[in-house]
Amino acid sequence: MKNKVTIRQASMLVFLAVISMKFLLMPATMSKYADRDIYFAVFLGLAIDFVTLIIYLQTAKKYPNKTFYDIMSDHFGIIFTKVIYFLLAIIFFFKALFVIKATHAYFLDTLYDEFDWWLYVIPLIIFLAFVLKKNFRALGRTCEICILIIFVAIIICLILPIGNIELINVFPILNNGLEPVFSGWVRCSYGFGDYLIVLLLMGNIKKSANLNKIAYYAVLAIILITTFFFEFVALFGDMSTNQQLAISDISVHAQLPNTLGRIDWLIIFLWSVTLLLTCAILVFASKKCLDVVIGKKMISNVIVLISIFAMILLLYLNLALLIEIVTSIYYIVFSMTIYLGIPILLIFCRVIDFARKPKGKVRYEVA
Amino acid sequence: MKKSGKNLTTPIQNDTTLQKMSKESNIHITGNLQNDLDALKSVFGDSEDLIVKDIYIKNKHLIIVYILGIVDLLQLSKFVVEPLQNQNEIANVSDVVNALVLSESKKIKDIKEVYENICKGKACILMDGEATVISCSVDSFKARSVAEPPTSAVLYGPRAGFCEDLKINLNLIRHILSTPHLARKSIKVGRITHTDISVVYLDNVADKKIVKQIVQTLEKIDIDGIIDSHYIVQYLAQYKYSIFKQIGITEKPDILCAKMLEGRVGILVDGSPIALTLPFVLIEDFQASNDYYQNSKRATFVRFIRILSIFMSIYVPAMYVAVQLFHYKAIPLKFLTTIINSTQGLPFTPFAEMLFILLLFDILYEASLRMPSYLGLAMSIVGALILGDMAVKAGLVSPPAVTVMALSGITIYTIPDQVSQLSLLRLLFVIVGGTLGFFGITILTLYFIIYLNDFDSYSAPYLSPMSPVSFKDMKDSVIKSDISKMTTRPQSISTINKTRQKGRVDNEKQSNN
Repeated sequence: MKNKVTIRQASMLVFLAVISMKFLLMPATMSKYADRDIYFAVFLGLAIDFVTLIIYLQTAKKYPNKTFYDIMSDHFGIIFTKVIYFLLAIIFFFKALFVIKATHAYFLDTLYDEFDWWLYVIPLIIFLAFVLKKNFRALGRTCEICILIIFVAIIICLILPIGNIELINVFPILNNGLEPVFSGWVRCSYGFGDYLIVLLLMGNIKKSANLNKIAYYAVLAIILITTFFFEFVALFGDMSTNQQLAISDISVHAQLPNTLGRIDWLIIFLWSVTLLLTCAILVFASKKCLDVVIGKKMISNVIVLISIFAMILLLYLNLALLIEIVTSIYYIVFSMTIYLGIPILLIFCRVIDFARKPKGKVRYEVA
Repeated sequence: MKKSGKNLTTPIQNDTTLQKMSKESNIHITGNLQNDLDALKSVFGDSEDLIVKDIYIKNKHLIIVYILGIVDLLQLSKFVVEPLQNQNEIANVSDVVNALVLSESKKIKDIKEVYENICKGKACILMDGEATVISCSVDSFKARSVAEPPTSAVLYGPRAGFCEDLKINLNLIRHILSTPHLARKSIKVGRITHTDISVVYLDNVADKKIVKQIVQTLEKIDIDGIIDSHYIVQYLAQYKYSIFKQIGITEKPDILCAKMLEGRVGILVDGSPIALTLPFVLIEDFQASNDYYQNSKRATFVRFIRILSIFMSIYVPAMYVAVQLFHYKAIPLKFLTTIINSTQGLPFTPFAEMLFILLLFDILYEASLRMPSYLGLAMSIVGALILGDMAVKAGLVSPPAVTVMALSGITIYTIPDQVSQLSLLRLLFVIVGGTLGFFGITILTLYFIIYLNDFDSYSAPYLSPMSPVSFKDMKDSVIKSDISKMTTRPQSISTINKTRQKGRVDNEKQSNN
């Protein structure tokens, strides 16, 4: 029962995973490719993600008590399923790594003059090791308790800089056609595909008849993220590419009376919680996938932690290198294959089931 | 009247005698008076206060055994001896029981049970040729009166509190919950103390599985003695190494009954004025009995103040240290200047300074708890004036740090039942705030939220109704709704009947009609 989450908890988990990555490093990176049309690019990515979410939810409804592993292994065999899970583990792992690095950058930018890397990494690893021993229910409940304040933080972030917005920065719209929009989406594909977490929740959601609620939260996330990207461009215009930590830079732009001091203190706290919680969710998701591949929880815990530690060592303070990796063509092809391949596989499962269905004789009865 | 033994010793037995008794626990009453008496005497050893009295009624030989001092001789004479002597004929045990109309009597067949009954102030009647002993309740145990407990004083509402006598405590509950659905299970725990423990619940509300689980846990306890209900707290706790409180405690029957009406199970221990309640969720400690006896809006405001106070008590000292050491840019300039001026020349770092004051505060607290009450004034003078004021004047600590600690020290007592946990949490947060700054505070906060979210107390989520969110239960959480709106029992607690009221009592509508 401890792995079972309620619909609300599942929705919160998904909502949090979707929003957190989009508000920090992504806007600036996307600006390099999509220029002033980043809100179109992010909307495109989110819309495609939403379609994949609908496919996942429909599949979960079709097979209410089956996990993703059950569905895949029934149709494609255990080995293929384990390969899929391994690839998912890598995707979640890289996403987690990205959030870890972004969180450090965020703290350094907003709160610390100097923030020793080890003072950051060691407590974080201990925290993640603790999270790995927990379950989706605990994480879902945590999201449930935090989501209201996180939502408030986002709204404050969106409202505070409104006075500084210059709509002239947004125009001309689609100046270079749709190509930069697609480019922005493709190059920043590392920031999409967050609904893959739904796959891990399949078969573990109580009252799965109300699965549509997850989609409502997804729509809310799309609205908030697109609005944020729009505001980001309207605030910074051509300077967007230099704003590495979008939400942090936006709050600095807010014109506040001096007597209030640093009102963004509250936002900093809330965003810190959001980022660390997202990091925990992603690392836990990665570990869950490895559990399936390896079959022994303890070993997968150790592997995930060692991998994070090793990657952190490799990337030691080098955010640019991490961005380079995740925007490289190899990673894009890899991640796109997973994001778009899994929904196709799930549709294929439905087709197989339809084909397998025994066709009974149709009897016509005369009234 | 015969007196056994030569030395004046109390029936409190040494270990050897108890072991012996334990071995003889299977010895049954034979019906041979001399043999039974010898067996009993061997269990009691050389107890001079063990009284053995012979009575003959129409050639039927009876023996009354009791301990001098803990039996009310007047009651013994009036309700036991006299009725027996007034009988024309006594043929068997049933005749004795019938004769003892006004005394609570019980049939026993086991030497060990006879011993326990005698020790608890009962008189036991042995009868020639009968393998059954009759125990009569004639104890003279003087219980403390039903007074207002010092830990739960109220402005309005019932003031009765539990005392150390289980019977009185049960009667206090019966007085409030006079229903046939009030169920009770009795368990004896403690190889030496044989302490009576009563599990009380409403059988048409409480979940039987939870009752069974609690009873089984209590039955498994194998300990020499239970002195207070806090002894069994540690057995009932499901997370043995947790610093968080897992079982509700109360000294007031009205609180216990209110909790039982919500579907909780109460546990009463003989000799303890503290009743335990299960399942326990964190929000319970934020609910004071006063809240239910005053305006609900005021109660909501007070609850909000309590929650705010708890956050302040934990976070303010940690934030003060973190901000000084790592995030001074976040402090408004004027306040920063004040802090810099007052901390100049201090021998300690802000972290060490806060730890020092925290330690000092806890020492004062411990000392004031154990110091005789007549020294209370002296204590406050020494603590507040000499240690606090002089430490500031001597330049050991800064005034802002003392203010922060004083604020934390006061706010923590808005929830007195959580003080022990919260003071530990405060220390932890100060340590991470001083070493890692704001990042440490955030990560520790998340750690505890996730930890508590995985924490169930007998199937009830510890952080409910905030997580998992239950809007129905919100009516009695941070918000305190009118009683008329609380139509259901808490959703987070497993009960067999969720309905408390069939419909909202709308006085306005009634008056209009």
